[in-house]
Amino acid sequence: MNIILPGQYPRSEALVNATRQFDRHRLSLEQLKAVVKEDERSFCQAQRDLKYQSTGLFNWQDLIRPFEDIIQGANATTLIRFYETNLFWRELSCNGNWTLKEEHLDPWVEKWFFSKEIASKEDSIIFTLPFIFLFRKFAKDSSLEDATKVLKGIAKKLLSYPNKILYFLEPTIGWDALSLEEKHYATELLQEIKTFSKNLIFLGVPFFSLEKEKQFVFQLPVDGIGIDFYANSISLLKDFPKEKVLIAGILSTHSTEIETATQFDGFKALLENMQFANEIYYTASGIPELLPRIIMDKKLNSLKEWIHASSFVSHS
Amino acid sequence: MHLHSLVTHEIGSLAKPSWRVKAFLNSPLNEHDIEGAKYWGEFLGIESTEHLLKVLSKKEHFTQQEKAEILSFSSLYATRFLEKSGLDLIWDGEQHRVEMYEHVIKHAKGFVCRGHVRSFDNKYYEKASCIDLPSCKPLHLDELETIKNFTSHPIKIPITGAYTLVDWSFDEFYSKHTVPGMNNVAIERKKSRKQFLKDVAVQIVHPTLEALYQKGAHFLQIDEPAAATKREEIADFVEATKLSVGNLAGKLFFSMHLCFSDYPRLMPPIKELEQIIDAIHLECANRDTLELGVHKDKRKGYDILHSFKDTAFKIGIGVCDVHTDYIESPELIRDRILFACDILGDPHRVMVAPDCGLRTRTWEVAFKKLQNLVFGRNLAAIALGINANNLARQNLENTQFLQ
Repeated sequence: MNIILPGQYPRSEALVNATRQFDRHRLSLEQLKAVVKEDERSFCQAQRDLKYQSTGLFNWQDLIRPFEDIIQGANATTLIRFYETNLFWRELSCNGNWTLKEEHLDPWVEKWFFSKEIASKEDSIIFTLPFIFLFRKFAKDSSLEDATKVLKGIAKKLLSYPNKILYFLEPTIGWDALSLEEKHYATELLQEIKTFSKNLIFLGVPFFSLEKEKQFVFQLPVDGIGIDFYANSISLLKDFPKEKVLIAGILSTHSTEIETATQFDGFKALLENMQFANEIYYTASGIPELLPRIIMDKKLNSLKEWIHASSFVSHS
Repeated sequence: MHLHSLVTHEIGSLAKPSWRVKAFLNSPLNEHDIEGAKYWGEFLGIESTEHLLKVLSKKEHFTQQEKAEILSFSSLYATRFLEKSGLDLIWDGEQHRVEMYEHVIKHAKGFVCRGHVRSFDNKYYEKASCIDLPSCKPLHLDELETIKNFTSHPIKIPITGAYTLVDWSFDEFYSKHTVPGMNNVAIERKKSRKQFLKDVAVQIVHPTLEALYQKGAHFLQIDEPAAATKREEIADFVEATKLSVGNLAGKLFFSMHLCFSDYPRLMPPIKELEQIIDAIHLECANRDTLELGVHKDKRKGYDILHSFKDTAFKIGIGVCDVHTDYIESPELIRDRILFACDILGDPHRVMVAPDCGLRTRTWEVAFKKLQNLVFGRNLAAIALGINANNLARQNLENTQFLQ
């Protein structure tokens, strides 16, 4: 099934409670790990029919925090708002040169990107990384050069595994006006990363209108582009490159209303006269973690049922 | 409304005593909880501590009536706590409420709690959806009446603002059945949100402000930590504040608390609130250095005050960081106040408080921070040559607080 769920999936109420109890020293690490495993197991079950699976990143505090372990002299410090949400991530500060601890890369990837509950290293998994502008925003006093150096090193390692999608999250495009130099950095980095392997590289640009930056985004050397269709109308796709995969953010992370087949049909109808060389992937409009787990699960089920029913209709 | 110079207050919440929390969670109390009640009762000079201890000695299975008594004692303890620390404006540190968002949502119509979402780290909050037209009976009236019985000092009641209530909620009423990708989808969502905001301001926040005014409240604080979250909605936040205050502008003292926000985003639209809101309270200590001095290099957290210099607002400055146990010295607090007075040009324009509510600190730490806040204010007053009679607390005993 062509649904992907990159990034952090919401923790269950049981895990939310367990982390709270753990922080208050009322739960042991072993007990907490057992609850994390249960979340991973149920998330794995929910993704059973999907072509690519995510681990849910249930042990991540935010998309930046794990970098604390792999960059020399890095520390997570003050809280910074995650764009225009009520979610806060910790800023990373570094008393060195933003250099990767290369010798620790294998165990670091093992710890943060794989889960025994989800799949083996050969299975089809989506890895999520912040893209350079997002990384720079949460890495104090870092330059694009620093961000590029760090992300390139990690991407190379992640892409050495077969059957993977590397999904870069980047809300900054559409939020901040980028300079030509910044755009150049982005293009060059992606061009180089594309040479690392035949794995797919996707770029998700949620939350904001892409109208002003669509030419830039559409020409980036990636295999797929994720678009938030609660921030963008379908008319944005007029110049969408036919050879790229459209990752349609149609599960709203602004609302707990469970999208119905009528709404999904409505979206499909809007695409009626458009041609895509690849099948469309569906996903959340923003980041799934903005919703409670039970709601995100229901939205996912509704989407799966619609895709299943649509495929039944088209085959009969 | 005019206040005396350098008025001090606590912004919002204080931690709830363990005996209050456990009693309401139906969790058994232990000796440590009861010793805490005894210690603070004696320290704060609570006359009826023995009665509380008798109620708590049951340790579990409290009746509704006993829980009501425990709640009342919790309010009394917190009120006396703030009084004893020497603050000018007093309340009970949110003892009657679960939390600033959840309390309102659970009393309002049109909302339903959907589950927990992350705020940061492992900290989550229960987020609700608006599923119908929002409305609410006036809130916090019992709270005001209870606190009036506990103190003769001026009372401040904080109220969660409309923009924050909307921004922290999901909407599945106003934007119901939106088709992703439809024409003008972002514009339609914006329209829905404006209506949501307007309804919350008019149907939830204003009735509470009006009722509190009718009950004799003189100081109301509108809490809007979310105000600067979305840069394209600053004008909507301003409009919602106007609707919330409505015809009450000028009738009582309104302050607005804005914390952990991107303050420059609020300028200049927030100036439209000059005749509506009397004071704007900012979180500054969190952004400041711990070094003494009144040079701008030492007082980085207060640089934002330049943006507010040419407004008509009084400015509340946060002088204590609420996220650390570090106890700011009176001298550090003095220097922060002096720096602010220098920028704003008039100590009458400066109010003094912690950055935010102290609920994450123990009472021991919170008390030391607040006591030093008052000591620091007094040192600043001496440095500024302000007569003690012009400081709020000294003036309270003899004359009216409001001029």
